[in-house]
Amino acid sequence: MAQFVPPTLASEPVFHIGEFAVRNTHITSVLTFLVILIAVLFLRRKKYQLVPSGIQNLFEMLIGTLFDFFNQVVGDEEKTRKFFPIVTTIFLYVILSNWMGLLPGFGSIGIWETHEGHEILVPILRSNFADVNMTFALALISVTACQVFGFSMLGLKGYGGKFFVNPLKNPIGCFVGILELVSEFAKMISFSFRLFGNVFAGEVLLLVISFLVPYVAPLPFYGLEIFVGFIQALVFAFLTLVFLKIATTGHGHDAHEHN
Amino acid sequence: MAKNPEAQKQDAKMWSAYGLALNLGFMIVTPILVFGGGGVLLDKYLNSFPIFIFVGFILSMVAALGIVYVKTKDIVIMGKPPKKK
Repeated sequence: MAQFVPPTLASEPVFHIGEFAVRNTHITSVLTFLVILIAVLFLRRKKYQLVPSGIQNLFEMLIGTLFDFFNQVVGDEEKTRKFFPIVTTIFLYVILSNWMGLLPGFGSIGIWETHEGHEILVPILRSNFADVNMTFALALISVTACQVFGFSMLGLKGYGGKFFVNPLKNPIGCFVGILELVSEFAKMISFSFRLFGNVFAGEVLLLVISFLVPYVAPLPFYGLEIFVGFIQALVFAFLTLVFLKIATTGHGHDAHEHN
Repeated sequence: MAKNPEAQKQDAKMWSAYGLALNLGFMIVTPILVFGGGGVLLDKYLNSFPIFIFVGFILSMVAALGIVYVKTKDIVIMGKPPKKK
């Protein structure tokens, strides 16, 4: 009887370039990037038309819907225009990575290697966000963007004042500042573990179902994973947007002045 | 149809509240990891078990409550009309 091998928690190195180990999630992320690049080049070749048709219609609808939703979340069109490029890029990258991870060949085509006397399959392709390093990298980008936008829109004193308060003048404010600093770390943890947990759990679920009943039974679960992939991308983009909005809103009286 | 600015602000406030709800668990866990973990490490380093674990535990409870309070206040402020000078 075939043996069930659960996916490993970390991504696996497929080959090495000198000392640098190229892992299967590296390969997938490059593939995802290439898909986006090809789509953009294809759209650029078609030229922008004033009266849209075909694929331009589809993309205008997609971008328009996303902008309306983001604008609803932010509640300020000027700010939405500033946040839109980064948040939409995150959304498209995450959704594409999640959906690409469901394609046949991901996790199943690989190289057989011997580790500690056991033959194991090292897949060449693995879903991007089933690797905590990838989710953490994206979380870092998102949290850094919050700091950059916060400093650029509120200024050094306005934004820095959220975290660093003179304890002699305002001891409670100083403690709140420390809490704000701690909550910045909470953002990174929440971003990375939420996405990683959902995508990795999906991979394990599909693998278990495919192992138990290989035909037909995994289909509804694939449907579920398509939905989860979309929801997680939306949640990541939405949370980035909410954090960006909170970062660019001052505390207390400043809030009203900056709004 | 375009919404009026006040309704837009209320919508934005509601979405921020959803964002807070999605993150609440992590906001409570992080101080426990930071202060509690710090307490455990300090106890190991100073060989003072269980003093710093307790101190860390109390600090993490206060910090978790504080973070939730501060974040909720931020969202409440967002929806308020500007003060007249």
